[in-house]
Amino acid sequence: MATETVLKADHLKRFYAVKGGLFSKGGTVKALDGASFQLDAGKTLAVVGESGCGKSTLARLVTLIEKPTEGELVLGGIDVASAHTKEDLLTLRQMVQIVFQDPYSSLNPRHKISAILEEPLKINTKMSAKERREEVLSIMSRVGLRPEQADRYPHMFSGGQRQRIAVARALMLRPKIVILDEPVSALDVSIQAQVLNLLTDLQEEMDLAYLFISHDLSVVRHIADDVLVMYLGQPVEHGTRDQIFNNPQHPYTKALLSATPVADPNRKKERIKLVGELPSPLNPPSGCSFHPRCPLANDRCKAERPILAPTSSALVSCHAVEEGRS
Amino acid sequence: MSQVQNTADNKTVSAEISPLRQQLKEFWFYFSENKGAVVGLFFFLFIVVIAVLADVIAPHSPIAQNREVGMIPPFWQEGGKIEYFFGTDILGRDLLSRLMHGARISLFAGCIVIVISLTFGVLLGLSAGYFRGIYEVIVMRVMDVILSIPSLLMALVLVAILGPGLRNAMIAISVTYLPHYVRLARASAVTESARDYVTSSKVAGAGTMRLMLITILPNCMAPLIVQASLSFSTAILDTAALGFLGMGAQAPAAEWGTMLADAREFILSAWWVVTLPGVAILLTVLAINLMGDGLRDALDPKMKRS
Amino acid sequence: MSLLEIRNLSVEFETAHGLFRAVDGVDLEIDQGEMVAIVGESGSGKSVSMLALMGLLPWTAKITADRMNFDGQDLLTISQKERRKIIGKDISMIFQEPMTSLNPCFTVGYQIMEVIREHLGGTKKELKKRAIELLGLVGIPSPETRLRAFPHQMSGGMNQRVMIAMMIACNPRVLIADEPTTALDVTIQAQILELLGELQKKQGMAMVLITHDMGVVAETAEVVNVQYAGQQVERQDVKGLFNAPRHPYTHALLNALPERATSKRLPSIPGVVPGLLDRPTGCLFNPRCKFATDKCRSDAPDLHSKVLCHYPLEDGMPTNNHPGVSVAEGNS
Repeated sequence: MATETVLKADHLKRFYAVKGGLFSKGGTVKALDGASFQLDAGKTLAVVGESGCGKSTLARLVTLIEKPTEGELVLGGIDVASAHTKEDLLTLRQMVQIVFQDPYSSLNPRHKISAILEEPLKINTKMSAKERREEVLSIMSRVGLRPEQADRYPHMFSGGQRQRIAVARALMLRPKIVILDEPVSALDVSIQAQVLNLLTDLQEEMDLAYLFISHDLSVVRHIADDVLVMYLGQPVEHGTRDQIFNNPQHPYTKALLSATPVADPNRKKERIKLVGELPSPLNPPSGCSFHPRCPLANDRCKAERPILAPTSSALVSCHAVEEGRS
Repeated sequence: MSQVQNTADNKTVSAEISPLRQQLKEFWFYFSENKGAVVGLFFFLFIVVIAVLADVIAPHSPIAQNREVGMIPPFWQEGGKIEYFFGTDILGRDLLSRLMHGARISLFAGCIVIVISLTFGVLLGLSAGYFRGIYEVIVMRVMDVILSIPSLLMALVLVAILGPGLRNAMIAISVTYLPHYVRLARASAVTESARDYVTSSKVAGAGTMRLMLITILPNCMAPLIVQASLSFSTAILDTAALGFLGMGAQAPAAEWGTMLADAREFILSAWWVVTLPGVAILLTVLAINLMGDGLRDALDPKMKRS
Repeated sequence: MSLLEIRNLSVEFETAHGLFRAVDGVDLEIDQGEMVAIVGESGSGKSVSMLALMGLLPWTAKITADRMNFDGQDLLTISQKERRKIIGKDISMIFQEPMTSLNPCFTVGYQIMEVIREHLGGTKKELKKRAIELLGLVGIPSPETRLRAFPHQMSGGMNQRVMIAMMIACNPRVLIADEPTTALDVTIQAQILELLGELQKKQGMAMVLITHDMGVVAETAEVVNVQYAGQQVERQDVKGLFNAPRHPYTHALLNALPERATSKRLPSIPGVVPGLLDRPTGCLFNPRCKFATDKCRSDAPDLHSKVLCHYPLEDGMPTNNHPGVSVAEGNS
């Protein structure tokens, strides 16, 4: 299979202006501060991080809901910033779709499943009602739903089935890229396995590229090809799955891995204890934003912001790793 | 294997009930828990039937005058006649027939007021909640101004400008009710706009109109329906009040408020001409309020017990 | 005798579609200094059973139990007033959402002091001293200044620490933690779990941890109760449970974890947890169980056996003369 790069992001940034209150002054939140990556057809890139790390902002940028403040975003060869013709916009829109975390709020409770699935076709294609119906039924059967379920309402489905419906909706326009925003974290373990299997099958079958956003490292380890670890809007480590999980370099990646509970009582591991809270993105620390919690921090880390640089393993942004202090 | 798994997965919701019937069943379960609401509903239906069939079942014409039978008391009192069940007024018009036709006017006025205020209120509130920004500020402040004037006074001023009459009274009352709907619709629209299903419609490329009317609006309706059912009774009350003040329906129309106003001078000599229209207003408003309470229990998810 | 003992607890709810049995014959026994985890998916009734113990369920719930003893007192027969003295003081509970569990209108300090005053009393000065002590105990930096903070001024992890401080204010003997870390980030979760473990050891509390996360269970609990559809299906110590699960549900659940996967396809459990309308006859797990036989479909296993199964597993294979141990075609 020839690998085709379907998504290329270069130093993507997204800042939000925050209005000052009566007693506080306004500022800028750097929700996403320079993310670069590329995604090939049929591959999965996982974006990992805790709250406030910018992964949801990234999803909003890639799905074209918001425009990047700075940086370049190329989807399937079309630069998003320069796409103005109606045709280009339509192509872009058909290329990226999204599946949300909470299957209970991502489906319109007042619409039938068929109407929910039909909507993208109604808006973007000139198909007749009959063709649309056929398309809906074929995708439904693909994600494991029966045809008679098309005329039911979302509240009649369980969480796992709703997530199947959400996946089906994302596939209606035959996209090349699907953003999966924590697609299984609201589901129970047994259902989670069903949905993960479905996603794997669909990827193989339709050569989909997944941008898989998650905080659950065990799921990421299972599904991802490449992993991008983010902290406070900035990528801290970017490499293949094996590099990240078997040979993590950045102290944050290490801490994250060691903090993730493992379902094996026999394995008592040394835990790297991170002190302190996640800092507020409104007021990020100077220098390396991880330095107040980092066991390896020194004066340089407080003053100078590290950049993502190649190491023996993955791309890492850390002075300590660069200097060999770790 | 995935085939096996899927069929088992699907088995769970295999109980074949049509969604509408199930929804109705659930609605009735919660609604019927409130006994007052059920009583209210049946009384309301009773009035609706009377209003619809007023032409057929009313024993006399509501406006035909007959000087020979003026001021006959209800049949159970001395001097009462069975063919004038509730007696007659000073002009010899049958009170029962007038009440029946009055029901028609009152319900009609209530409906029109609700339709007008609901339509415009939803349009303004939905757009304010969707677009936000300066437009929202302007709309909401105008609504605040309307709210700050006592509603009956506001209606009186408007009728004074537009000229008295049932039609203008209905318009005036609609305007005074507008802010409630705008506020409710805006609040729902703001919360619903932030939900994921709206975002995914956006990602699918839905335009503004589609997002507002097809995606968001149906999910804002429950509180609006409850509000509509509750203000239905106030609309009837206000129409009667305007009629009583001579600004609403004009004589000889058989409107409950107008009937009250006409009968004011006989309050001491002929109790029935004043009391019966008043009782009609009271019972109707009470029934609708009880029904509205039940409706809120059944429709408002926040109050729903799980 | 155990510190807390519950026998055959059942909870039923009246709904639009009839009676729903959310908890069905659950037993729980916990002693001083013990850590018991209750694991289950959503709809397994794990929270409801503990809320029933606390008396926090709405009036629509019908609660029955053979025995509900705390430290020799029968919680079923004592008066409401006496019960309130125990609940909140000797038995307390922390919830999943730290942000909504605290009242946003009052300062953290006020809320902690309120709890202490309610149950133990004391002068204002004493209350304040104890509150500062507690905040320090749960690892909140500069507790004196934090007393004046409102919940919205602090992060989720900090709020959960405050909740824990409030709940241990009266030195409870049983602490029930209902998904205490589910809403928190991974690194904060590790901190909170560690804190709970430390407190439990230091104060000799008995702790009930309700969770759906097998990883959290493996790292913290000593004894595990697995619940499925309101019933207790298996009770084992943690090592036994993870090394040799005896109920097919536990077995399948552990296999479905991505971290235990051996191939790209996960061995998933087909179907969903039965709800009100699709409760199967016989064993509740039979429609999803790969070992189910006709006996499983017709007869329910005995509720109070250690493993709620006609054919408990040994080394992943059913015992008790299971008719066809030719299950190779199952999930792979």
